[in-house]
Amino acid sequence: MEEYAREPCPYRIVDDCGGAFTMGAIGGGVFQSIKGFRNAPAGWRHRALGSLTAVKMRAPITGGNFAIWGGLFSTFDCGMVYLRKKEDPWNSIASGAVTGGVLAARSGWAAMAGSAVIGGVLLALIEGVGILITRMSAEQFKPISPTEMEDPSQLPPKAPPFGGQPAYQ
Amino acid sequence: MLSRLHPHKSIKMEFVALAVGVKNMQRVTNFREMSTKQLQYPVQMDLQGLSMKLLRVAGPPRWQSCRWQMRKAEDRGRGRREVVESRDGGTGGQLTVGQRVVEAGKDATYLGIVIFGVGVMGLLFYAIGRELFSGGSINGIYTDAMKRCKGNEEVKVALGTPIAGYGEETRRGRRRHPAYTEYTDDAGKKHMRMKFYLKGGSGRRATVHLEVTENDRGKYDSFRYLFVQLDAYPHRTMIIEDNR
Repeated sequence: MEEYAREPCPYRIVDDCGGAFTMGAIGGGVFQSIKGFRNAPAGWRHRALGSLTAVKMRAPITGGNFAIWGGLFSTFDCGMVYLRKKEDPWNSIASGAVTGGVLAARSGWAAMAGSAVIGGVLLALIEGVGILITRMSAEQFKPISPTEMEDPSQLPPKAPPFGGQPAYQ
Repeated sequence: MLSRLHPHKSIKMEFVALAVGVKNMQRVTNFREMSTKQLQYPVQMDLQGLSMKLLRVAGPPRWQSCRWQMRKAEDRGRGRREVVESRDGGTGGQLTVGQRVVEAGKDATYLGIVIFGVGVMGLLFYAIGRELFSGGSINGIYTDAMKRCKGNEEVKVALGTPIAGYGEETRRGRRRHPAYTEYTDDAGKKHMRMKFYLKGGSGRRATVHLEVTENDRGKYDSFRYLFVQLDAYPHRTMIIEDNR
């Protein structure tokens, strides 16, 4: 029950950081194993070793880069939630842009602006995919007959459509 | 080659001499960035130990000639490129009909992939744009309803300010999307019901229920009802709007 009552926000940063690291390490591992295989000298033994070495050397770095992105993104997202008091797709788009900008801070203003735009657009695309998916899944749960849709009981009874007194208990 | 005073410098000297000696142009270009002083210094230190040949090769006056040699090598390369035999079998770049068909097929495939990608991107941008900038979208209604709730005095007192709003929580701790369902009534008009949550400054939580109906132009614009219900007992209900 505690799970449901807890605010996701500060804890989510750690979750996202770890999730991003896993994703980066796995993706980087696959990528580097192929790259290492191709770049190694001929012979199965060399290729396997090259692949393994490349994965060992580079996959954790990719994972780390992803983790930095994910952690920073989530931090900014939580900051936006705190500041705006509202959770909607704008939060994630804005925090994607801010993350991109901050991570390019050492390369100057122009690079920061470019990275921020890329980050924002990327997150907007991800949000777009999310919206499309919710739309499609919402179609499946559409009630078939309108009689299912009774007005909620919290509201006072509706006035009768033609004249007369409303039916008070 | 070894200097008694600066043994480590002589090593650098050796390297320079080696680089120039083998006339490996790639390596020489790396040394071009080295300042002339750096180059001269070890040469002067080790004058005794050096053979005349090395001096001639590594000494500063000869550095110019080295560039000249490079240019000469480039010219040679260019000259050589001119006599490369054509490899297309003497057709002079003309393709046969079969090759042209293959090329056209390839071009069409790539064009198709590009168009498909652009189309998918366009669709996504359209979806996100409509969602974020149009008032009748799910996000627009959510924003509108939240504004109404935050402005309501009764809700403010019951929950405490500031009031924060959020949607349905996903497994990954995201609460950006409110739950909603659409249906069509007997008159053929579309309705949408939505549910989202509020949390006040006092820590009390509430659930917002609302329904919107579409207008003549098929756009959701007016609330049919909008009420806030406290989550804790006694589940008090605050009706903000009821146009049934």
